[in-house]
Amino acid sequence: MRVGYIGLGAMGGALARHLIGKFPLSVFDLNQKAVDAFVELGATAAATPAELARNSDVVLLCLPRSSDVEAVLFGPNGVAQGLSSGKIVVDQTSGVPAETRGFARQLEEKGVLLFDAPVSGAMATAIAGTISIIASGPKEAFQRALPVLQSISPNVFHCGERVGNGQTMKTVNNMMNVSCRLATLEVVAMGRKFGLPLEVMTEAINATTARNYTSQGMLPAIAQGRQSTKFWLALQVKDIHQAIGLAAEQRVPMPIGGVARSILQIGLNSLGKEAQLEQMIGVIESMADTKFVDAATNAEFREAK
Amino acid sequence: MTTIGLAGSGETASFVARQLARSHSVRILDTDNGSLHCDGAEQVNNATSLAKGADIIVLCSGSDEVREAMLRRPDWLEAGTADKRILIDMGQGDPDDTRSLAKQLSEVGITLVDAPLHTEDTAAVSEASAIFFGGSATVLDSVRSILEAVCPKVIPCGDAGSGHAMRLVVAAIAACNRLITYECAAMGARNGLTIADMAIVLNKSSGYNSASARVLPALAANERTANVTLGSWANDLTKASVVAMRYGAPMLIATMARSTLDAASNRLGESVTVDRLAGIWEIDSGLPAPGAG
Repeated sequence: MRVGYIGLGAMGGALARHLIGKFPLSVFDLNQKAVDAFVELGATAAATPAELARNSDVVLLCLPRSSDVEAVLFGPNGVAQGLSSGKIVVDQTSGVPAETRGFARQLEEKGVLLFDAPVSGAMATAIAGTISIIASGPKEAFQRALPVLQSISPNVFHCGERVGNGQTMKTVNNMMNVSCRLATLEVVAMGRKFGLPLEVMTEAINATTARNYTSQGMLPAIAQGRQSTKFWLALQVKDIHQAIGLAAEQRVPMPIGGVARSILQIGLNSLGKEAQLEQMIGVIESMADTKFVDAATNAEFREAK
Repeated sequence: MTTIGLAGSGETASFVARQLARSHSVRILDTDNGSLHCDGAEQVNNATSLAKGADIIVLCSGSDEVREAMLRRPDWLEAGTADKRILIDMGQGDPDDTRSLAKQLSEVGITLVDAPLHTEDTAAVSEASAIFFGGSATVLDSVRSILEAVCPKVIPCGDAGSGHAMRLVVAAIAACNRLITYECAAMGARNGLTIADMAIVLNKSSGYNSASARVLPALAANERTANVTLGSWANDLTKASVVAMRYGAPMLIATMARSTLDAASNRLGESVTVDRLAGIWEIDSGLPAPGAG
């Protein structure tokens, strides 16, 4: 099976690397350096998305937004021009489900099946090959492309035959992650103001029903002075706007999600477009006028323990 | 055998008494007209009788008024015969009040420590529950076996008041976990996802939290996850909000959670369990009730 991958950014690049040596691989990206790195590893550079599609049985996309997917699929020299009946397109973008369903309908007219398969997890899990892949769409196309997805990670889920369910699941996941992350940080900031050491709060939270992905990953990392996320804050805001949009379309109230969105927006406006999600730690600290790590308090606690 | 005198009310106090009665001699004082039950415990009618002959006194009341009355006027403790008069507050007090009370009581020879229990389900207390201890390491050494008889996980948090502060931190995040899970699951369900799929995928992804791990599978199977009440959670979040305001912490999401829990408590009643919150999201999001259709 010949595979093509479009979008070799931080996440797409990490995912596509797992395909090298396992399938004949063509790649395309606007960033020539990213393409060159793949060519050095044995991939073939395609001049255009159309050329990549002509030389692939399965085309995977991982782009920032659904609007980028639309441009790459249907724009000049786009993927659609190189597709023929029986080929499969897998959209790994954290896109808008309704728009992805629209792309699938357009491609179906050419006998091409598209399904979505966004990923969920930290960059480290993408690199390690353990990231969660959340797919949805026609079972037949999913089964045919499954060996490709399983080369990226064995953790592949199929959430129904309706295209876009995977992206909806990813959106729900993003919202839960962000809301729990910000709630955890702001409450821990309150605890710090009272004088509780971060390390003991982390232990207490993780021993109880307060535990979550952030308490298990980010809080220990803060205490140890490590970075625990690598993601553009602007993209996180985009993801959350998408979640709020999905809720609004179905008239589902999301009061907590709305507050989380506002906090992220404040962070992005304060830090600028180049900010990383990790910098929200500092934003929460400054909002509460505290520091998560106070070396003296933690050392005192460790000694007492 | 150590004799423990326990004053309090409600399900949590009854649970604590039952746990203690397995390995200790327990006498109980019901502070709220018949809500404290414990087979095998001796029931007394007043605080002085409770203190008489007790080695340790445990206070476990959900009522701030009862806590205040018993801690601000500790004359009744003089009936105790123990060399070191130790009072363990297992209810949820204001951390700063506990700090100042501990200081005042120490001046009359009484050691007040706080050791509140956080649990959402006393039937599964060994799984995701803990006691947060505020007091000296020496006192903890002397009461650890008593606390571990209630819950195997005991976490020392610092001086008196720190246990109460820690429990507010934990309670606030735990409440947020659950409210966020309902809110996000409602959004997913209205957009075509099944609860069963969300239970599998989200719990293996970065959306994971303790509530999603318990609540989503339980929703899919129409099972319960908790016996903690809405009223109790609303009280905890109110206390957390008060501490946040006092110390100048914004706590935007947890404050929203406090409002949500107060509204839910007013709507459904204080005594229903937090599992009933699911029904609010189902109605407010236009989802069919479980089993409908």
